Amino acid sequence: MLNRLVGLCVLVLLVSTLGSAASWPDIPESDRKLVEVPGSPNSAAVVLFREGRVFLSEDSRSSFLEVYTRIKILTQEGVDYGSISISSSDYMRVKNLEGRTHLPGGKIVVLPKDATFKKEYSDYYGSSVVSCALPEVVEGAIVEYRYRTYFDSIFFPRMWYFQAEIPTLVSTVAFEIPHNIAFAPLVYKTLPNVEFKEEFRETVSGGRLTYSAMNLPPVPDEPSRFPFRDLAYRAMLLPTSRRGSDGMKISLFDTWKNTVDVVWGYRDWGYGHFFGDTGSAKKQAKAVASGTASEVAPKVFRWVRDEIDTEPFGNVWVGETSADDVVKDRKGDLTEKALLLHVMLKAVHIDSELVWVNPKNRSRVEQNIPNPEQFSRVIVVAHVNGKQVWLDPTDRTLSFGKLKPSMQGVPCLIVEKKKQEWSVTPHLPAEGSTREAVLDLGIDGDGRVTGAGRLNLTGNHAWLRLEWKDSEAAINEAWTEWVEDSYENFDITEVVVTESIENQLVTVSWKMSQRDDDVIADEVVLFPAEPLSVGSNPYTLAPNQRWTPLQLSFADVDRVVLNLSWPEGWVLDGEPALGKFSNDAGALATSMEINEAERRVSLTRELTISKMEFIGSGPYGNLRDLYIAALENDAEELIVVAE
Amino acid sequence: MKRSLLVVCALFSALGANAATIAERSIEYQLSDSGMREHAQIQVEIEESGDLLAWSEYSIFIDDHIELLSASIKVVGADGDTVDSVKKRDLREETSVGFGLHSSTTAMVADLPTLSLGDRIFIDFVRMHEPLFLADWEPILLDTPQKNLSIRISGGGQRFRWQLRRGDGLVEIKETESGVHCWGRDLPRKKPRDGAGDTLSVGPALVWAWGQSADWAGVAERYAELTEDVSRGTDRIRQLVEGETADLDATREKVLALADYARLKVRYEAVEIGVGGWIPTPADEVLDRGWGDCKDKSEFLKTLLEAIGLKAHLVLIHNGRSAMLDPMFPSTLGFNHCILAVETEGFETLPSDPVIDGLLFLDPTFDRGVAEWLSPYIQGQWALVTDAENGRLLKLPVRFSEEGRMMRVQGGIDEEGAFSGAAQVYMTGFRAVGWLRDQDSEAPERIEETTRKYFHHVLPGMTLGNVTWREIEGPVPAFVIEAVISDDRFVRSGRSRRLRFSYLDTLPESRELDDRDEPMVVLPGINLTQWNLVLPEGWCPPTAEPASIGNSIGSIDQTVEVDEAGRVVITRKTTVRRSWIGVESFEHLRELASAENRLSRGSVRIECPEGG
Repeated sequence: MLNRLVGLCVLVLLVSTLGSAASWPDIPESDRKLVEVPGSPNSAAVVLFREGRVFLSEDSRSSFLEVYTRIKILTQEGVDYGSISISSSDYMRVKNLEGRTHLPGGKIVVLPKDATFKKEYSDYYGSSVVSCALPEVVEGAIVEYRYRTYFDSIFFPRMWYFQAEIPTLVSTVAFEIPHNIAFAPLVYKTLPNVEFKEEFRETVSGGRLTYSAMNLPPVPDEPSRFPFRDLAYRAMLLPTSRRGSDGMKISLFDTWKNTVDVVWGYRDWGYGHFFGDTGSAKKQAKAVASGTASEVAPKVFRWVRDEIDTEPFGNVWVGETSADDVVKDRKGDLTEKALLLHVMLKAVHIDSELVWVNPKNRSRVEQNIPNPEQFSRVIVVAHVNGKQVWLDPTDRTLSFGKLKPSMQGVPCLIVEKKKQEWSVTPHLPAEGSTREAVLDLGIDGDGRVTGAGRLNLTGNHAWLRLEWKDSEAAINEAWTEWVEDSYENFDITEVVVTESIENQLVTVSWKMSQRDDDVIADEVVLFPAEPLSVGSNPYTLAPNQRWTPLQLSFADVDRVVLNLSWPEGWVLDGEPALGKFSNDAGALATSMEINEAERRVSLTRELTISKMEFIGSGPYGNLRDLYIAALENDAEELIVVAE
Repeated sequence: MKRSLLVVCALFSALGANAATIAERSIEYQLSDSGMREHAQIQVEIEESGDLLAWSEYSIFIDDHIELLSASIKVVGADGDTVDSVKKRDLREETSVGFGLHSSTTAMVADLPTLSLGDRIFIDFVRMHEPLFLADWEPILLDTPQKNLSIRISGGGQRFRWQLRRGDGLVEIKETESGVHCWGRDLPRKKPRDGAGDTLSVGPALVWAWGQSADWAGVAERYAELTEDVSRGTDRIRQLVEGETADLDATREKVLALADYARLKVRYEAVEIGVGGWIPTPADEVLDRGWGDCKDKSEFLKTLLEAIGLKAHLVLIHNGRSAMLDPMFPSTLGFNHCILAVETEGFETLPSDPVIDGLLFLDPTFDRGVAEWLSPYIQGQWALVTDAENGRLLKLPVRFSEEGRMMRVQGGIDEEGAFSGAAQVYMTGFRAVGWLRDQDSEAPERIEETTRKYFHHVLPGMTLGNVTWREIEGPVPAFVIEAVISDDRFVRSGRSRRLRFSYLDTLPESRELDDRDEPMVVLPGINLTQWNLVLPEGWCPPTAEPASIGNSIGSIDQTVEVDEAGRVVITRKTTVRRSWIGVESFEHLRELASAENRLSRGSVRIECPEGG
């Protein structure tokens, strides 16, 4: 929420006096004496103090973030906190990593220079990891470390997270704000009853805004929780405007229109530059395009998807790359590929727009905060034969019009230079993502079960398994293993897998025959919910024990149909209980048809999870109850015996 | 699992997992006294859409001992035109790509973004290897099928020796002068099998060694020579030892106290610094920085023990279930871990201590249990004692009695067939370690979730009430979880009453042994399930099948008894005495696995005999 604009009135160049490499902060006696954190038993470690200082340079050339962290190791497992790893890149450059360990007896050991390492893992943005192993970390020790991250902007795009995965006693962040830039503070107070302080002080160079939070519990690592980014207590400053040297106010991120303008850039940079050099891209589009609009659009989409290598990085920004650069290099990041697709569709007269979107497993978007860093992806919405078609050209297993589950049903911003419009990406209902297994089995005179099985996946379930291994042979092996794991006592043969990326379908079929050492001459026991049985309930906590809201990847339906026949002289021994349950979370339904005369039975079990989000103890409890019912149901046996 | 690697595996190029077909793979090794020159020529056919991504990058690995002399990667289209070409100067570097916080391994990566179906990739590179130990290996099978394979080795000299591991029937092989030539056609892709661990280590391979001693004593001596200059025995170390052993009289107590210091006060950190990952850091430095990898911690402990007048030796061993050394091929291939052996002459040990051939074995990297407990991942492995004067290969015993699980279920059944009672699962040895770590780091809610999931898995269909957990103190890691349980449909009534029992199954499926030529690796130990049931009056005891089967692998025993209080007690105990089970023992393994499966699958019925 926009809180207030911070006006600054002192025109003095920023001079940093903080973060001297020569001195470390004193450690209070209370930190040394701490042995456990109230409210967080078993905690392996605790953040005693964490401080961030963000120095924003008015000339955008020498901004930096300085971080100091102090952690107490509470158990033997906590010694892992003696290993520090920090992401670095050409844009956010980590330097000057230093550290020390304070042993329980009072000895201080300094991190030697040769105990800092760097792993470079991508050339595209110079991505690397800077790490170190702090010395002599033992239970009871206190470790402290600090470093700087340099960046060339007045925009520090990252949240300061007050919480961590372990308890935090004090977390504070100070923003040194130059006089000529106005900022909107964004503070997300996600927990009640947290001691929180806010202070603003004018300084020579502008002002200092400090936020501090005390005694924060860890963000619980509960199953299927909302992302850490949504749950953690956090803050950032969003630059809303700056004053030029002539005193004119230049808008930055104060409205979505202006935000888009900033990102759009101009001829030499940003989208403007990307769209300024498109000759080869347009030529390529025309080369692949033939046919009607409904034929051309998928062809262009598939070309961008398949012929341009995807670098797995992205946000909404594009630097100095152009469309033709991407075509020439045959390589582009997630954003560049989307922009290229937009250019190429336009070249063949298909209307489309860019869409800023954020996967829900990353974090949620707030529409009233014009912060471009909320979005980590750009996709395209094309208009084909009067219909909107949403396109993500960065994943070879996504067909024309298909989005990944994490990007379905989320708010998105349709972006044009002159107009922005909020929308929501489409999502599949439960019935659109199914797993259906059909088993046709028979018992022979010796008591052996043989037959065939088939598994059909649609929608998001199919997408998860399209080309999930690197070759057809590997896919076949993986599915064979999957079926074998479900039917441990059967020989599984003739596994056939068919996939259709364009239709988002996967079908697996197989033959199955009970193994000799499993055949019992007078009895057959089957579990009708296999191969889709719920093996365990991931939501075991009582509703009043759960802290965080829950999100699933997608709504879905699991259906198993078991058709079984038996020979003369055999009978069903009792009947399995037929589970039936429904609530707001979904439904479990089991039905059975017995034909005694023909000696066959058909049993159908269907589990529907109809929602993706469960916020609050009531909805969570519903999901939990549904799983409890399914677990109980799936343990039921179908037993046939010889008379 | 935190484990160090000595980076002993040969660094081979990334040949693209599970993709395409390798039309030609030709590798020539020219050996010399100091190392070997490798010339690899590989041709890949891009056939499926999955290949486009899998082969969009090609990596050649180098490190402090491997230099890339030349490289050329060319992409040729189906029409014969060159589509892309990458030379050595165009390769980009990805540093520290190995395991852990840091490694000396660098990947030289060729980016091939413009691949199309039907393209062929021609890869040609030359690397110079100067390893500390003159031995290496080349896999026969890869994750990709190969049409033509040729591995040619020459220049090995008089001490050249080689071995083809599990490649019979796959390739031809011919000895040449000081070398060997191995070739094959239409080789299938390697298929991973359950229970085989990391198949890169256990797949068919050509191994060779040259120039250095061809016996284990020689390998041990060579390693001891490499490490003899590692400085030891400073005043600081002596002071530390005095401080840690001041109140102890017996030498054994001192040994274990110092071992505990190395285990618990020096944290494990997988940082490969130094010469090819073989040479340990001096004890003083390890003490200064307070961390080290396996060889550092072992060397550190060795130095501490020397300060009290004991002699100890670094021991090279394979940690894990992915490989078993071949004692007939002395070399350093296959070692990925370092522990310590202390000469026990002059002090008394206990019968339960891991002592073999006058040496007490200690693993200073394991921070759970007592110092004298060895993880099952090194039990049963061959261990090379790097004593310069008496280097030898010994096999660590399998101490299966320390490892295991026991599930005890007790309760009563009512007239309607509902069960209510309690269940406990006791875990000892390595199986308890994960739980102990969670207890020291996870919120109670997470431990409760894990406990409930575990009970759902071992007692399907049971409704769980309150669950608890706790550590059990003792020399071997141990943990117990407990739950209140109930099941309204525990007894199924049909033609007869059937009880829904479950057991702790241990053995692999017998299916895993079909058409298998690689060993099966299992966790040794004792697994016991016991049900204690009070039946309603008038009900006859259940008819669970008693069984007793034993062989070289282990045994299964199942008994059904009625105790004096009228409780029915069904007990099944599975004992596995070995971890590494070769093909020659599969018949015995199958016998036990089938028996376990049959006993688990059969219903337990309650039927009174006629007239009863």
